[in-house]
Amino acid sequence: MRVTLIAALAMPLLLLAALGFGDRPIPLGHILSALTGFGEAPPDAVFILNQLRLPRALLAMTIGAALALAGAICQAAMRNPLAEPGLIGINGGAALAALVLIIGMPGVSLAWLPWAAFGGAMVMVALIQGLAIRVGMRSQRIILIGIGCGALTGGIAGFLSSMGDIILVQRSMIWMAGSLQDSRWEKLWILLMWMTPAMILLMLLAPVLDLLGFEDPVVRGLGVSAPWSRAGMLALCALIAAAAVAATGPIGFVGLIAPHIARHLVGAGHRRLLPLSALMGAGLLLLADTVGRSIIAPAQIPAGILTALLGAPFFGWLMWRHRND
Amino acid sequence: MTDGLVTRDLTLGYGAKPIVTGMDLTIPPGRFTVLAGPNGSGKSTLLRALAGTMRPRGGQVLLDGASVPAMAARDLARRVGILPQSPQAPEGMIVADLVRMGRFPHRGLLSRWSDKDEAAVTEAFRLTRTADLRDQPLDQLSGGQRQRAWIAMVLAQRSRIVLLDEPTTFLDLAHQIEVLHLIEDLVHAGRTVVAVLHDLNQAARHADHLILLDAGRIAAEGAPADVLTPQNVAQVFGVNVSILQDPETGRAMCIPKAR
Repeated sequence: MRVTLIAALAMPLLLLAALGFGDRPIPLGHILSALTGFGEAPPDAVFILNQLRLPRALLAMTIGAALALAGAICQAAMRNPLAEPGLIGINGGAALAALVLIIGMPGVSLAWLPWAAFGGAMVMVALIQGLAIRVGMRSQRIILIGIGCGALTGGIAGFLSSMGDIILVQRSMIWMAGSLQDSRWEKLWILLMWMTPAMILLMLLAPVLDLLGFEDPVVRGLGVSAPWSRAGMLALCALIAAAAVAATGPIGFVGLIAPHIARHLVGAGHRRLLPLSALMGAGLLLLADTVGRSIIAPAQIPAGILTALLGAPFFGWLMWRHRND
Repeated sequence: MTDGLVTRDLTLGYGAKPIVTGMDLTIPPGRFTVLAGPNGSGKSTLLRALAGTMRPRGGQVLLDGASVPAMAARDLARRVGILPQSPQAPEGMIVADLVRMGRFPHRGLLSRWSDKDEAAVTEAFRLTRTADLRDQPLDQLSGGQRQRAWIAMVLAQRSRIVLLDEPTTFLDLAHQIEVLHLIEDLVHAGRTVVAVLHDLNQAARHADHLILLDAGRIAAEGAPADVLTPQNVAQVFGVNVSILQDPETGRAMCIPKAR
């Protein structure tokens, strides 16, 4: 409980840092007056804060929280600490749909991109789950099926990008790097409206996630059908993760790392694990995005690239820690 | 209508080959029943079907006259508890959290932890003598302590019928005896217990009802003294034994003949 409180209290500080750093640094005094309306802040600073940095920071936090929650669900439902939403086809499906839209239908407005990515992710997840439920939703089978389907979509994506117009391919590559550059208030509102019910539902279902940590015979002995509840949880995971990916493009490793750190701090019970995972994810992505757009400003490193650069060594460490399992 | 668990012409199997065929069985209520037999004779499979975790290929499994496979999993879990063979808990789980899990079939998503839940968990701790271990992680317990914690979880379910799949396997002698005494206490308290055991002498000593399975059929069943005969053991296990009287309890016991 105390850890979660500290993490929650750290959020406003991170947020202030995210608002202050960047291509044009803004002093704390100006940030506070722009946010509260007391005192005078230069109009350009107010514009940068209200139209660019604030929606971007809040979106980063929402997406980070969503990816972390999706990761926590995934790890519980698959009984696999190395699981993350990408494994069940979210990124592959979203990327393919985005490529088809950007390269294959150049006439269509890019406003459709998030919807296409969401649709692609859900179709892909449904396909993998549909195949996996026949074999009892075992973690290893899902991963194998996921790899198979991933190779297929990867192949189609590769074909599309090698045949497509080079400018359109470039544009889709930028999307696939996972960036928060296109953050608008409207995106934040849509995402929040989607996430709030999902998060409430998730907190209610926390005991079921605890239960799914057991093997199937124990789960069934306690009165719950294991394959169906695992599939249901992964569907919820997909709904959350696909919305996040649709808004920014695939951002890796937050879904893997955040629940891990949280589990290390408060243990495996989901009533405590879920809120802290969400806070960790929110903080991590906000940090990654702030660093990404500050260190070589005015150039920006997409948050997805930064999380991958940080996440890969972490993943290695995780594998090393579980080497004897 | 018959009380308790009954099977009628039950056939079970995973692939093409049936594991249990045409079995008619009645589990005596309020007694300790042991399923024994060679490896692959269908003991665990039968236990899973009794718990409703495996669908019959033919015939019926009935609980108080109602079909077990047709029952909602949650209702069934309130009436029949099962402990699978060598279960694994999530990393780092503590004993108290494991035992509380036994209340899962009794709780709604929005319901708070009730006095009834607390009473059931306290009783489970008491019966299994695990209250002192409640804050310890399962992976740091000895084999016997861990098995007791798992049994406590099943007891917290407060099901009238408790099914245990090889509860003594991988335990040393002292812990085996501990688990068997615990089962006796449960039966004294009015529960029905069915356990798969490998040790015929332990079965003979502790069971009220012994069922010998052989290749998916009942080779013999009844009071241990009637079931444990040289003929039955030779037929089922292919081992020639002498039957003696247990000097401690006066019950039957068998020892293999010298070559």
